[in-house]
Amino acid sequence: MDVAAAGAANATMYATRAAELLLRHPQLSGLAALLAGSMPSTNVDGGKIAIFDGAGAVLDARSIWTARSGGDRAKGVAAFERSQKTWLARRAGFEALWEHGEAFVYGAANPGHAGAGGRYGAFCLVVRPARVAGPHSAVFPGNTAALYGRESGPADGAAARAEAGCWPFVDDIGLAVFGDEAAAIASSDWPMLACNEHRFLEVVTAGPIALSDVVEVRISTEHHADLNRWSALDRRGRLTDPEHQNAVAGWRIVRRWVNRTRPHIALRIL
Amino acid sequence: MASKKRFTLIGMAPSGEACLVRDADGRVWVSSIYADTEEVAADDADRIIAEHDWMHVDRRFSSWDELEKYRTTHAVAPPPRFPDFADYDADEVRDALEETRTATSADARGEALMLVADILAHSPIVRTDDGLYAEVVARLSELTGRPRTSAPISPELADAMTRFALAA
Repeated sequence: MDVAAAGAANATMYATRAAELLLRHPQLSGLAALLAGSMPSTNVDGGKIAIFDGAGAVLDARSIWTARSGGDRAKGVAAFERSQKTWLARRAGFEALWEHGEAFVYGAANPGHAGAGGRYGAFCLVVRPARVAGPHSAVFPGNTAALYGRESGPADGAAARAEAGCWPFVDDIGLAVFGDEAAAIASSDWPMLACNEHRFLEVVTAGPIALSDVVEVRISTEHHADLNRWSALDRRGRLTDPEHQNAVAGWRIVRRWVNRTRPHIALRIL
Repeated sequence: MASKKRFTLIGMAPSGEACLVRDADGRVWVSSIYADTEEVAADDADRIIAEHDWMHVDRRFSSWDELEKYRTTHAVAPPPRFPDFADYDADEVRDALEETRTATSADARGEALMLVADILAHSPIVRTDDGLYAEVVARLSELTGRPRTSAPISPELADAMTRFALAA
């Protein structure tokens, strides 16, 4: 089954729930607008930026591990499976529900900040919404492996199909998921409520995502200063450890994209 | 007898940019170059490694330094980085100047000054491109024109300033 078809089937359900919430909490029209303006994004580190640059695309996990394995798909898939450990059954079980599930790239609906996973990677890659609005793409109310996967056995396909949504009504999905909590807090807290490390609307789409579909790289002000400082040190041979060198390499690639090779990508420092 | 191995490297990003560590009390921490070390729920360790495409390590160390040495040794080598200053083109010079604009701390400003000085001293492109030369000198003036930082002017910077007739 195409995950997009499962999502489309729930459009009326989500619209109804969103309408009910707006009736109870009219102030949530602001949350709806915030969510409607959100963008699909994923936070990555410098190491992954280098891989994506080499591939010309944002890759799924198995392809990332294949690239790390020198292009050997069998080795890459084996490395991917080792990395998943106790989560392999959950992840693979969810992906087995859908056509092209093994190629899924995962992200979040980002309501305007530099991503929820900044400590795992400073580079927040923002994808053109239309790229996740078509076939083999969907939006779910949270982490799909945790919500629908099981430690053993097949995933909960009935629940996954019942809760799938599509990007064109991401605002309705977000209202249904976060509406009651949002009504009880200040609107300034909504962006972090709707997208933080533990809670988010998970966007799935069959990869690869061509870099031509990446429209922004967002970096926090703090990370921007760090990257520049490390880069200045590296230019003078004074950055010695590879973890910082990998971050700088990623930063250098991003700047090359933005300034020269992929000028359609905007750099936003937030 | 209690184990002398105090830290377990549970897993790490292949690039080394972040890792998960369990301490002797069983508490689990994310150590990242991008943020302060922060505790996470121990039950989340496998999920974090899986979600971020990290590798499991599960190796114990008797000190943090030993753990860091392992992480550094086993991080993948970065791709080719910067050319020598002598091989900088105009784009590379402008990128370097841009990097200096977020230097606010005394140390960072000192490093920024040294970088601009190195470009002036060692990048021939600056001497053949009048517009670029003006940009570099302007940036140097901005950096030196602000309140003096704790970083002393190095002999290299002093030499570059002399060669380009800038007031120290």
